[in-house]
Amino acid sequence: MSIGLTLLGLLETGPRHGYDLKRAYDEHFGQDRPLHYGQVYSTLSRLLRDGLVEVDGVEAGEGPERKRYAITASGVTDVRDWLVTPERPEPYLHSTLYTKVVLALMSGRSAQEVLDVQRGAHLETMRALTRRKLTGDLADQLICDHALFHLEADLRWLELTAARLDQLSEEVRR
Amino acid sequence: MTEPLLAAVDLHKTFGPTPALDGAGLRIWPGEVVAVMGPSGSGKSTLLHCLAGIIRPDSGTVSYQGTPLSTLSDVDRSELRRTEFGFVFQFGQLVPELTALENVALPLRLGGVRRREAESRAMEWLARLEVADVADKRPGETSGGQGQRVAVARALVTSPKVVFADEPTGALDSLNGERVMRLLVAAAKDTNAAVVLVTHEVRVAAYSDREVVVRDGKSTQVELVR
Amino acid sequence: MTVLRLRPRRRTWQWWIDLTLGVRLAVGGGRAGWGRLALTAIGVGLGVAVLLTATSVSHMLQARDDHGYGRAVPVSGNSAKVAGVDPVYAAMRSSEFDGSELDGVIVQKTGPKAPLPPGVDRLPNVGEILLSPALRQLLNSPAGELLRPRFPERVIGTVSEAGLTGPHELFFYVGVAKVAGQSGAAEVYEFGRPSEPRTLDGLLWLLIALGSAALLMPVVVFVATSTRLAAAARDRRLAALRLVGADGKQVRRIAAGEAFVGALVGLAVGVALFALGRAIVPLIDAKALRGGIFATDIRPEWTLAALIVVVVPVLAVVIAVFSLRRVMIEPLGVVRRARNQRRRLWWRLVPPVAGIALLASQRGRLGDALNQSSQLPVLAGIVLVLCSVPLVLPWLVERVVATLGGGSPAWQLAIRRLQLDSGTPARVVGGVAVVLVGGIALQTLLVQASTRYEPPGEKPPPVSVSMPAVALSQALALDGALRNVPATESVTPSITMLMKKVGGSEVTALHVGTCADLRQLTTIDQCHDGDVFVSAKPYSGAFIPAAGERVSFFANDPRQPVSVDWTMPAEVKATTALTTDMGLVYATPGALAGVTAAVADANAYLQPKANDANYVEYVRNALEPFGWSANAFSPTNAISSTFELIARVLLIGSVITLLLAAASLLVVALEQIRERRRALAVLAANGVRRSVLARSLLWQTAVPIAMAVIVALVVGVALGGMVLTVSNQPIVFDWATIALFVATAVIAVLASTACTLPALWRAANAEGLRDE
Repeated sequence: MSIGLTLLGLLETGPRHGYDLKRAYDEHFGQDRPLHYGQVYSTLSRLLRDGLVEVDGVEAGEGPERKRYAITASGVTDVRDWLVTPERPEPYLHSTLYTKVVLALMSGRSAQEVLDVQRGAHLETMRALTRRKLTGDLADQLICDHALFHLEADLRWLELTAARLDQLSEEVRR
Repeated sequence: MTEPLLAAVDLHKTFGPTPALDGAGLRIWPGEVVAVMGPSGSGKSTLLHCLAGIIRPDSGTVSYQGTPLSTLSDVDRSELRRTEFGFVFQFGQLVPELTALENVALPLRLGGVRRREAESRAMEWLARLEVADVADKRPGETSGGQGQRVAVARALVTSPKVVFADEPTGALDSLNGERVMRLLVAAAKDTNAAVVLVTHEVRVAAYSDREVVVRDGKSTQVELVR
Repeated sequence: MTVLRLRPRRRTWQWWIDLTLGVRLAVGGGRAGWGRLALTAIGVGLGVAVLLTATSVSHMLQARDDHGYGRAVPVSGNSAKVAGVDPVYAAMRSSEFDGSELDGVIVQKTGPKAPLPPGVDRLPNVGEILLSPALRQLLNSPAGELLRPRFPERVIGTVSEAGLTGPHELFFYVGVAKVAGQSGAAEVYEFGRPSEPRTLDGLLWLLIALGSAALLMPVVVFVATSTRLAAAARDRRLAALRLVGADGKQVRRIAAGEAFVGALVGLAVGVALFALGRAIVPLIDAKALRGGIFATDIRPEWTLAALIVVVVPVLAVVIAVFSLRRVMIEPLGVVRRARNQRRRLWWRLVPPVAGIALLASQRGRLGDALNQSSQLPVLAGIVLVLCSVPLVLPWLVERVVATLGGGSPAWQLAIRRLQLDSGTPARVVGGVAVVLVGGIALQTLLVQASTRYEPPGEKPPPVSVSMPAVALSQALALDGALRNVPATESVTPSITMLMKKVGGSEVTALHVGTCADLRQLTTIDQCHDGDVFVSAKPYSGAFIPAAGERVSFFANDPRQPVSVDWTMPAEVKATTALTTDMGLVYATPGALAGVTAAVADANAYLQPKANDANYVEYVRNALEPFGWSANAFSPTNAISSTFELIARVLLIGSVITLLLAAASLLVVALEQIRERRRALAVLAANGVRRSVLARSLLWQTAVPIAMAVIVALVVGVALGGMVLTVSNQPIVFDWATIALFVATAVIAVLASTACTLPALWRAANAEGLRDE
């Protein structure tokens, strides 16, 4: 899962300091694995180098914690493209999908769009699987069924999550 | 690009205080299977009913082969439903008093076909849908899967151009549901009939060629960036 | 834009296909379908049977009369002489036994070649008698013990059915020594008289009309209800047809086909019921039926019967199709229609207003005579008023129920259910209401038309004896015979003779009696046997023969031109009458010693000591020596017997119809429980006690029936009152019987509701939660 894009998405809502960013990430996405400060700063410097963020202001004091980072126009473009581009359908996408939905809501977009787009991609894959099932032998059918069910499970969870988060969108946006 | 077979533009429909359709639209081309998806209460069934001419929208047009349905009389719209359209609903659409064979023969009989011929054609379709063995049973005596396949046979017996299916597998288990979808799509492709498939299940929608999402009475066609 | 080209519409046989499809739907429904069909068939069948019976009534009455005419003794003069036939002197005699009519003919043969009345092989000689089968059976049974003294003759044969008016008629032919010269006697060369058409008087016709209409209305309601039974299932069925592409007219044709099947079967059932009734009726031996009814006499008027056979199925079909109009079969069924379609009142008021206007316009026209032009408006008025009940009731129930609310959970369930669909219970309960209306109106008419005899005070009613046109010697012997009747307190004889002036035309009446008897009639002071008294204060224009004047006694009957002359005695005393009869001359038997052959009418009143139902039979037996010329009657209700016959039939019919209405209520309730099975099961599973459900069912029935009873009372009383004014009778109501009717109706309804409880118990089980 791309940490850089996640941080970009968080920055889209407004400029933050480094420690602010880490805190926000941990709170929303880091339940399992909190982010190291080191990771944060190395990612930020990469983003800076790629022109996706810029330094907004500097606090008095030493060290990278004192810098305030803001997203650039190309950063915004990248986030947007990332949100509207579906992930390749495969099992266990939940963390990425979840991140996308939360970020979409934070930036004022509708979670439904993420959902619709992802569903489209999933359906394409599922169509291919279904076609294969119709002409295949029993082994093919079993494999396809398995994949279909998992893809469906992901999508259903996504639908439910999107619906839940839509309800809580007030709290998320900060 | 060829003309769409069935086109609905900017449909609005309100039942009581709730608006069911709020500018939804859809175009169907001959021979394609289109899935209409969306949460419950989104208006997808209403969209289907408007497309089939079963209910009239408050505003907007539905055209079949270029002719707006609102210009047709009740007799003509009934004739349309009988010959050009077929219907498969989730349940409750077969006549409980008639046997499966008579149910399938019904659209033909209503069109003036003699009983013997109507029933022989019906028998062919029952065989095709793999339910020839329940021909003499009443719908109440058949299982869910068998009943739905009889309904599909009835929908296809007049060789329609469009089959409307509203949650056709909703009351069925996975295996039966798959069987119904497989047979429905295969038969539709064989006769070059378009299928408008309303469903909220992705695995059912996977039988379609494309999907349209209906939400809050509006419809969106998702275009994937490839 | 391509033009939509649909295949051309069907050929004419499409109609046939639609109808046969309807037939197929009606017949192939499995158990539920058969049940519905059976109900419709029963309803239609009953209606047809009632109609056929109503059209048979007049023919039945006429046929009965014709039997009587066929064996009648000619009335005026003698029958035309026929060569080669030895005439018979015959006279009809009417009597009674134990409340049943007992009639016969006294015959006196003049030679071997006697004319034969129908049903008789050989006329009896003196001392012989022919009996009808019923009379023979009665005499041989213990019940006829009191009757046997009157029939000492030797039985030589039986009168067969051809000579009787009814299978249980008590009739006889008896040989008597001297018939010629008796009252009513005629010289008969050929029995029988040309039949005269019977004319119904206005009241009778009104009774028939009211009764038939009152019986038919519930049947119509029942048919309408049963064709709408399982309405939800039918609507789903028809919606499925619409979905598949049947247009509106096709659906109506299919519904018509469905209804037609029920109607046809119903027609067959009705004809079968009628035939069954026809076979059973002759077996009934009730006093009100006056000797019973022959099966062959029960024949419907053919033109009307043909009309019934055509109209009834058509009506059933029309009702079924008409009931579709409100439902507006859309392919999705009847879902999602705005519920604000409230019933309108104005068109429901048209029939009652029109009916009242029609009846009011005919007031007084159908008193005694049957005014031809009044028949149709009166009948139409009655039918319209009866129709108004099932029309107004749904509106009333809907409005009243909409204002109700609150209360216990059972009440709430019931009221909400009624608010959702008040039409069906109101319609069904309307059937009961119409029966009530008819019953109340009928009873009002019956009460008024029957005059009851109230015995004065506590004394048992007296028996009156009459012996018209006999010789004076016989008349005088009557008193002596009557004094031998046991348990008699007093005998009051009265003998009158008609006398006219010789050579003139003035007429007066003469009373004959002993001094003791005459003292009861006049203010006589001194009296000896042989005295004659005349009235001192005659009315103006009266003829009083003077002393010594010649007068002639004559008989009132033109067939007895015998007259005997007599001379008023020389001495005639004056007196005044105590009673206001036309007596002006009073004579003791001694004064008439020489004219014992003169014709006299003898009457007597006997006062029994105690109230004994058999007393009148003792009197009749005491009259046996007088041949059949004397009659005794106990004064009872002076009701016309035809009237009573029809009244009984109508009341029986009302009971049957009430049962029918209650049965239809039961059926509808059962069907509703079946339709709501799932909802009920869910309620029960949620912990709603079954007693609550039962009580809610009770309220659901009780509220409409309460309203129906109120409406029925009002309309029934109003209709009864109006019909009374039409027939010129005073308006009096028999509240006791009306209350009885109402109570019966309510009990019938509650009983049928109670019968649905087992079905409710079953539905409220968790069984109902299973998918079918």
